Amino acid sequence: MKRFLVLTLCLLGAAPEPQEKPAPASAHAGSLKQFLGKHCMDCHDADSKKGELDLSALAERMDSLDTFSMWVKIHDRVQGGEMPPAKKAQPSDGDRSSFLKALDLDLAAAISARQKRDGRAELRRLNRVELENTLKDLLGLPGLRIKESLPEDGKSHGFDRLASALDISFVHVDAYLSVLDKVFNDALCPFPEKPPVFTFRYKLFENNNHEGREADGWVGRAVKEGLAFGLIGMKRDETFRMEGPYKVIDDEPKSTALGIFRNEEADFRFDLNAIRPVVTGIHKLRVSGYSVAWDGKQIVPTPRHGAISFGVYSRNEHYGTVGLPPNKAAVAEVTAWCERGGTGAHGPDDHLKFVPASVDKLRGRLPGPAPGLAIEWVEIEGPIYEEWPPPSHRALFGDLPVKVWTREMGPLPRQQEWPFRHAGPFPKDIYGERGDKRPLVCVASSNPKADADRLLHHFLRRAFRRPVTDADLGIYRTLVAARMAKGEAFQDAMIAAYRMALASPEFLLLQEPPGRLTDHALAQRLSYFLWSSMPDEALFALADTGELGKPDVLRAQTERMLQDPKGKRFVENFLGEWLNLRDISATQPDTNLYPEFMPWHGEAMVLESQAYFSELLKNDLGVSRFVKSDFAMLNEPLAELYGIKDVHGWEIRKVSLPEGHPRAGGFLTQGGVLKVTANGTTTSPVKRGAFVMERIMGIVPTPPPPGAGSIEPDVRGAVTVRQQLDQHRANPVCAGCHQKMDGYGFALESYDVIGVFRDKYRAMGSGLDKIVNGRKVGYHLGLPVDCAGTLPDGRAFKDAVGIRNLLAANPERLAKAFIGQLLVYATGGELTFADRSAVDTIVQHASAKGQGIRTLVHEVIQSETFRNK
Amino acid sequence: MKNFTRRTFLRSAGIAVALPWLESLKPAWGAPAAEPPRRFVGLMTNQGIMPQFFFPTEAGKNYAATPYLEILKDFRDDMTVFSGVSLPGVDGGHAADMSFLTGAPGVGRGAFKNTVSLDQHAAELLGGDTRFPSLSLMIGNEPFSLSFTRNGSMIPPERDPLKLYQKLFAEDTPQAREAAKKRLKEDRSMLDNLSAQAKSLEGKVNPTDRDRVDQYLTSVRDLEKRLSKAEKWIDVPKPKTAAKAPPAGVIHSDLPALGKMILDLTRLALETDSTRFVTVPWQLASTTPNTIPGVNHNCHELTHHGNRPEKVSELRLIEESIFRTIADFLTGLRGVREQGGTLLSRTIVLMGTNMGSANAHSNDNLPAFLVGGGFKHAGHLAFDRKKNYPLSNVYVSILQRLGVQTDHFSSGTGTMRGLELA
Repeated sequence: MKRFLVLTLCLLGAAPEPQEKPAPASAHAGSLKQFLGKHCMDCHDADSKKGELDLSALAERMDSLDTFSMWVKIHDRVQGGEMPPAKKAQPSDGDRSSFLKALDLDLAAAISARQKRDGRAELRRLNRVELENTLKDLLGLPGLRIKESLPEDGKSHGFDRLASALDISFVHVDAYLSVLDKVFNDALCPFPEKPPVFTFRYKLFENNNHEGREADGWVGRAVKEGLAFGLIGMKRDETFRMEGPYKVIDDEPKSTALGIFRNEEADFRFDLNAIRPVVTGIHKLRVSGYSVAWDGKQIVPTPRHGAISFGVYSRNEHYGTVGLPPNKAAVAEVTAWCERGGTGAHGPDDHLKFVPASVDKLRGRLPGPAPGLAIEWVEIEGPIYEEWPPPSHRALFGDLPVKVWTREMGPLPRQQEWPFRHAGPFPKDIYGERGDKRPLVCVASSNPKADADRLLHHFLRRAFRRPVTDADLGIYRTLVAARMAKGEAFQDAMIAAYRMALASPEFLLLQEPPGRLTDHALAQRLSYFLWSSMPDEALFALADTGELGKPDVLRAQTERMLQDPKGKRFVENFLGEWLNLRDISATQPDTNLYPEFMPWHGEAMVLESQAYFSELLKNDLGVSRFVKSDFAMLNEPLAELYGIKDVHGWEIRKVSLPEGHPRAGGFLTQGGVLKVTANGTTTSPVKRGAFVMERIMGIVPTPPPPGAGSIEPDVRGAVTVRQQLDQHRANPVCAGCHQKMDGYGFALESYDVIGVFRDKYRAMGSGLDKIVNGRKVGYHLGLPVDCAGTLPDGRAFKDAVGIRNLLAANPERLAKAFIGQLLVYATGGELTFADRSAVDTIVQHASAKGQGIRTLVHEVIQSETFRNK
Repeated sequence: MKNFTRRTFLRSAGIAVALPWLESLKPAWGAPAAEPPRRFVGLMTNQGIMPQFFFPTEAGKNYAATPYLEILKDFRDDMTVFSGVSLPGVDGGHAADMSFLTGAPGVGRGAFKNTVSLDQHAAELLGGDTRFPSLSLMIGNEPFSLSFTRNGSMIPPERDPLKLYQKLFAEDTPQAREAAKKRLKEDRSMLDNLSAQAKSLEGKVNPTDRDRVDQYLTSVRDLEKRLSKAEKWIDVPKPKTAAKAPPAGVIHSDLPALGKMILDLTRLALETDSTRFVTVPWQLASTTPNTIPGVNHNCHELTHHGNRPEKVSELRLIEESIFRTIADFLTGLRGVREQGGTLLSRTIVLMGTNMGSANAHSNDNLPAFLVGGGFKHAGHLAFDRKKNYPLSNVYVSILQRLGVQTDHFSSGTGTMRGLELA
């Protein structure tokens, strides 16, 4: 031990300012030094540097968070009994505990001093999910979609909510500005009066295009390839055929539906060329249809429900999936915000499509039994506006009316730009292809100056999520006045001010002054936690009166917010990050090995985990349900995939499971988690083990050392991943960490890459005489799965059921991990050493109340950690 | 500019491309006898390159060509193949693609932060004279770019050949130009105002948070600078080209056709001195390039071939097609004469990948090679396959060749051993 250790505190990147006194030396430096010198320096000095750790080089002062976290690591290794290693002389229990106690105090003192000064959480910008939601709620545009136009956010400590994951560059500012142009265009009110509702019903198999002379191109192609034909109920319509590539000929008796099958080379998405919204807004998309089966010669009844999805997939917009019953038609409906448009203006791909989600993966032309969908018609109805002018107008211009523009009203303001829309078969586009038959409109203000002041005040307060100052108001008022003086219309000048406000740091950055949060900052933190968006009027009002901070008021608001429809954003976004469910489509399961997997399964798996978490949250069920349960949330496709009988239809519902059932392992046995932790072809116990360790157990695995190498997956069936890994673990350098995480992964080896239970690995190559989804499977059964293992603490388990019992027996561990995840998500601050006692306190409070998930969410919100920056 | 007129240049170039770099040379360089500029094109494929078909066995100039290198045989004397190289600390399997030109370590770790890419670094220092300081392009399905700003934001790629063509060559109407000018002016004045707001906010927040506000401020100023540069170019006529506009409606999975279109436009952009720095990754993850005869599966699925022969040979078809596209691109560059040399002799083309074996998702022993651009090419530079040599050193070599006085970039701490400037 060459140097004197001083535990002190310093800011990352900020040099200590000269007028500040040097931080006091550690109260316990002497005893720490003594312990390290006696037990650690043999291996961790400048010469040996075992594990790249040189304690003599560890900063005398803790000049960075890195140094600080190094000390935390030392603390944890000594505490866990890992260091000094077993083969070396061990410190006495007394030495060990007094070292830990001293280090504990120093670390806590250092971090709490830092937090007092700067807060736990760093200033950060809104991520793109939050930005989209905030603009939706601020401007009353429920269907706004801008996420895809913004640069992707990073991830730090598992979440997209930490400053370190949310950089800002000119690329962002540039993207914000162009997004805002779209947003304000969408927010303008295009008519003085509410537009009429248009309804159009379209039979896929009728000639609708080009004045009724042609059917959609894909119909012709599908018919030609034998993947679609006319149906009369449950019979093939023999008189249905194509003449040329586009024209459908159908003699008597006429078809009642189009039967759709497809193969894996066929286009997945089918154009709805004839269905083109006239005015942007909420629309109902309806479909009448049923699911059928084809046995190679004729249509036969099927027990299976079908599903169909709608969206504008070229823009990455998925509107929803609905189920269709077997053998007899029913109508299903999706409600979605649809933008005016259709073919032409945005390139060939930019219109509404549907995906027969339950139909997939047929090889060749309808060989054997194959699932199909019969579609009678598709209908669009809209735009549906409950009030007019629309909420977006009210958000910008309050009660000011929209009038038909006349010269006397001053300069003509910018009109809402409409995309080109082909006249097409839809009978009545009364506005012209470019909307040029619309009236010119204008927001009418008789007292622009007073109106501007009032509207700006209202808008800025909401946009900045805090009371508006005179200085704020001054900047924007000046801008409006200057623009109007230059001859700009009132409406345009106001939009320019709003646009600047929404590009400003006050809007884009989530500000929280250090120390205890003010009521407005608390409202903001609460709403971004539970709604991923800005506070609503009720929260604003409670913050204004200073009521929000009262524990019972805060509790009541939390309840209200969870029950609000926006509360589902918490479930979606928290699970999307915590369980990586956003990555559900990142890998495509190998079609030979996993022919069961259909496109709808991915979406259903996300719904499954969301519904499961919602169920726990709703009923305040305990954290042990994360790993062990007596029910699952399933729909028919999932139940079929998991081998559970008697679940019918697309809707997710609660299904009770007996003790020890393969699916009764909470999140650990849900398809979504199992899929995002695999690569589409093979599973890795390491990857899954690390996932469970970090996300469920709350222990962050150490990354592999450089050059650790990786395992070449082999799907020929000669060797299992476990056998390969055992070799890797024979290396003592690797064993240390792998011993801690692989156990969890081994237990999950019983589930393949799509979450199906297995006792043997599937190996590539034919051999199994089995047809799945209309094709012969491309695998045979290989080596058996060995899923026994031990937990880091040495407790052994035989299989997936064994491990779930062990994990569920320690709900406190699970609760701590979960609280940690919630805190990071809710505050945007990483979990530090100082938070450990806070987490313990929350667990204590919650234990008295039964430790349910909802209780834990409440306790997190009531905690000092949440209520301070 | 002795022995040289624009007319002969155009004739020798073989196509009616007007206004190459010579035109922009007037204000920027002034002096006579100026050399044509040096350019850099960064290519990569993000699904690995199967090593057994790429790496030669012998080191030095007399290596026996492997199947992939055979496709590039016409460029053997103009290129250097590397083996035993990787980017220090860059891991994370697929995710390492983001670090290919930045060398930022730890993609696979929790708190990863990317940094500036080679092309952007060069463009910042050298890219002021062209309409586009740099171009970030791509070939494939899902948006992905190799170009990152200094604070690690991805610069969104242009992936539609028609839009790229219009950006490079289509003249805006006078009205559109006026509107664009007005818009730029308005935006610049707004950005001024936002800078002021950010500055006042900086004074109010505590020191750690000041960094973040400062990042906002820098972003606003960067954008302002870019807008003011863009403004200068609004009234400068765009170069003319005889090349026809690519068709509308790209089929992203038609890799050979798409690759040809994007790389043809890359050549035209360099030839007309519209830019000097271009990145073009193949982003293949979810693409099934079924216009390549014999390919029926998506690239990512094929990379998990598990050494099954039929998957390996299908993947090989895709990779060979990429090498052919590159060979065509290089041939195109060589076909453009430029002041006694060819466009290829003034263009550095780097090609590589982020995974040494996609099957194992490993990030060491990266297949990579460098073509053209004024180096004493060394055939096959074989480094230690157990203890890799930093590929980032070649980034330093590239920067020096482009004219940047530096001895480091990213994890590179010197020029690449064995690769001399010509």
